[in-house]
Amino acid sequence: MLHFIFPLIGRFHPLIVHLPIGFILISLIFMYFPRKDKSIFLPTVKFALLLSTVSAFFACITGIILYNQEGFAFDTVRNHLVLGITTALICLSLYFLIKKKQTTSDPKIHMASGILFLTLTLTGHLGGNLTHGETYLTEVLPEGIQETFGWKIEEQFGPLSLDEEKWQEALFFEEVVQPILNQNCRSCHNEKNRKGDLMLTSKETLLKGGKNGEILSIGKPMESHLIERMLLPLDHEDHMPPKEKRQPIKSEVELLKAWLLAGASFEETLGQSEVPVALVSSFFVRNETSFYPEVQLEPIEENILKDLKSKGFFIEKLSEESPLVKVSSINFPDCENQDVASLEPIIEYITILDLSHSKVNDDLIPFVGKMENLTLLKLNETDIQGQNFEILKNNIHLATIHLTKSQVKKENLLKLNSHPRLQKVFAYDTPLAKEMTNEKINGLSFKVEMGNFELPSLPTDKVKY
Amino acid sequence: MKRLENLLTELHRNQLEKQTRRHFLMDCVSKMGGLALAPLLLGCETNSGKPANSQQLQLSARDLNPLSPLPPPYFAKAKSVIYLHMAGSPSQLELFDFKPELVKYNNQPCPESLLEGRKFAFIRGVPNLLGPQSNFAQHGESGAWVSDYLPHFSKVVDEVAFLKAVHTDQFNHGPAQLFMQTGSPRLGRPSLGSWVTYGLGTENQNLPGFVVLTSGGKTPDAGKSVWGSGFLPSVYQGVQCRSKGDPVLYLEDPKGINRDLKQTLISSINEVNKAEFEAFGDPETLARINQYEMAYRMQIEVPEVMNINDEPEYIHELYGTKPGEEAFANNCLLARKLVEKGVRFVQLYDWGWDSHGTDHDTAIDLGFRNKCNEIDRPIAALLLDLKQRGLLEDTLVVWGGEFGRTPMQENREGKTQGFKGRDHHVDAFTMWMAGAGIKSGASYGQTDDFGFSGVEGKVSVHDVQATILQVLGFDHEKFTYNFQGRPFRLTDVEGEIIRDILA
Repeated sequence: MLHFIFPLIGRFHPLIVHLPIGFILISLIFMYFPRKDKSIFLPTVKFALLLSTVSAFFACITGIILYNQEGFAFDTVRNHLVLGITTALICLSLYFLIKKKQTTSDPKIHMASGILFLTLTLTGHLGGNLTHGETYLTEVLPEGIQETFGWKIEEQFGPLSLDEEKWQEALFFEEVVQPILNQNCRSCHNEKNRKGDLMLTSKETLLKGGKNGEILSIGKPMESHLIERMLLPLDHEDHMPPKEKRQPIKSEVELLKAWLLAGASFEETLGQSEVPVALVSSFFVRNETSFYPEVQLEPIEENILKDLKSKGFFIEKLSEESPLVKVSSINFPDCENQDVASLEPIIEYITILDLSHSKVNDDLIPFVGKMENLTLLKLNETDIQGQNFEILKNNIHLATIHLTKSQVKKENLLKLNSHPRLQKVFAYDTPLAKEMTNEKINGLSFKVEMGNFELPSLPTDKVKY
Repeated sequence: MKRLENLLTELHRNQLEKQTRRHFLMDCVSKMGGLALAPLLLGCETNSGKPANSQQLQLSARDLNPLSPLPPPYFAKAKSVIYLHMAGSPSQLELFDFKPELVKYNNQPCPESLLEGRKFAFIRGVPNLLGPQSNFAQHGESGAWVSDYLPHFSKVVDEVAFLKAVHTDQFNHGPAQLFMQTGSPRLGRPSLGSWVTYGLGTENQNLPGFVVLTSGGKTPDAGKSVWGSGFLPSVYQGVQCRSKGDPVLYLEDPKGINRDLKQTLISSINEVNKAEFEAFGDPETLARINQYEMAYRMQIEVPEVMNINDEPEYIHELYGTKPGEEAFANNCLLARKLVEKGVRFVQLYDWGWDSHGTDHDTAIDLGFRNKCNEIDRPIAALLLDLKQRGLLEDTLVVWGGEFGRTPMQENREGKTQGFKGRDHHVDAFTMWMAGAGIKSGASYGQTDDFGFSGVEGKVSVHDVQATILQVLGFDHEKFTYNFQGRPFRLTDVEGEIIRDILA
């Protein structure tokens, strides 16, 4: 019936602690008030210290109740707790000391009040850290200062990722379940922060469960508290993770369910648990690192850039951080081979080159071949025939070539076969698309999009309902 | 030069004429108040952080040309967007969200538990449920459910990713359209297209970055604010092109005025405007300068891009265009042409989807079906045409309405209606995306047996917007604009990226 009483009292702790802070400070102020005749303040000091002592003990009691009710780990609150009680005890002894000596100027009293001030400050600071987080004060400092003092101690867990080739050998618990828990749950369920008396950091803690008992029902995922709480509506107060925190994506929950269904083994691999590939495919990271080559380049010099832009080229960085650029002749329809040659100073920066609708021809290809980081090449609506396309095999990052409405020929496209990276060529509305058959395409190391899609008329097209 | 001097003297004289004794008295009073208010209102200015009036104002490329391109903050999957908005909101229950249970309960009263505490635009009391009026089948390798209302689209379902449980919180067209396009149901925020052109500029300097095309006889209920620039400089608002006749009026030079003369005229006007800007520092003056220049440059490229007659016959057949008429099909073809020419954001609005069942045109099995026929082929054609030209590699296509339709038959004013119709519904509706950065063939979210609310994978309007921005290389939480003393975002304080539909 009255089970709410204790939690409620506990939660008054953050309020009550301010009373001893105030009283102790006022006692100290009156003790050291710069005035010759200090005896005049003696009754005030005594009374203030009495109030300090009583409120300090009251703060201790509520604090201990709070600690018991809210599932703090002892390690996290130990210093605050010990110091808090020490503060209350020193307060008490100082009161009796002054009462006995009937003066405030005594070496013993000076020492005690000094220590009192120190413990009070420290206790308050530690208490603040408990409620606001340990980095509350430091996180607003400039990054440089934080790093010098080593205050950045945030635990970081990346998203789950699996190797597309070897995913079946991955351990279901260690390499899938635990990473999912790390990313979604761990910030509140770890050694330091044990919400609901639950840790989700290891096999043992998972099996142990929290204050509401076990969280895993082996073979029955929907009855497991772990899953149940995640599937509650977002607005439900028991929903986990809390509404304002990052929510697990659907496939993560599905994997946790599959793990429980397969018997919640801590040793089996994904393959042994017979997990279908559809469940894990969204976590595959391709072996190749990223679509664009990873490079260490200084950003292009401003005046070089300005020069090339004034020629008519569109040049823009791929992203704010990346030095790599996209170059396009979109505003430069009269662009010819020699104009493109003027891009020489930034040749290693060019990742995307779009010369569609320009006046370039096959003689340009040797120059393009020198663009070591070229990933995407667009030559739509140009006179390119592709006579020297074998040169493009030097562009080891080149993944896509757009040749829509160009003059590219079948025999020239074949020169690109077994290109190290090339995945797709767009060749709609070209001489090639007219003479090439599908079986020929199937033999190539890359896909060719020849388009010419049609949507046959249907009897319903003309019906008026 | 002489002419320019004359113009400037004229301007100077005009300004002098305004300075009368009354002005002196008025200025004395108002400017004293202004002085007092200035420190209080600090931060209300739009270009906060910049000195409003100073000779040594540093002008960046962006100031001189607000549409000059900028790199996206992060690697972007898409560089352009084609957004197909079906104004009025089509019924998801006839098109994509197949509910066999609803067939069984056709014409049965809707369970009261569903109606409790709900408000509908027109439904009163307890309406009857209305089963799906179309026949569904699974299509493509992805096995997506699409009805026979969209026979052409059902052939390209493997290109798209469905969002089956989108929800909004506005059940009237105007606010819901504003919410979908600007992130707020009230006026004053920039539209998605404005945010994107503000963030990325435009690649083709001869065309606007944000083009709007409308069809269906009317513009959206929320008016032009759905493509407005809100508090962003007005140069970022959508440029609406006419859907019939000349897309942009007065592109032809008037008789007796050649292009050179026009250029001299425009550069003189811009000189004056620049002087004006230096004096007052109002960014709107820059927008003005830029629009003059843009209009001049557009004269060359627009007639070519906006003319669909040059397209080969089989392309016209593919799209089912109706040359000379205002048609969604023409707009789809135009959208492809614009994106091909480097336009950043093309927004299509098709009006006439408000299928309440009050008459033949709004009946879910009659007029609605005709509307479906109008968009079915063009949309399938657009996706295929983008795909064959390689444009789908860097273009994001979005389709949706501003909300969905009820699983219940509408009973306007509590009466039985002669036609089958559905009311506005906010709890669950379908949208789809295709192209750059999208996991093609995906389907995310699920609704309950009646299609009333989402039970899984619910996404909000802000989630959809966050996802679109993500594909374009933005972090929707960091993409802000300072206005009235605080940074504003498209997604306000919400929005989660829908990672399940991203490739």
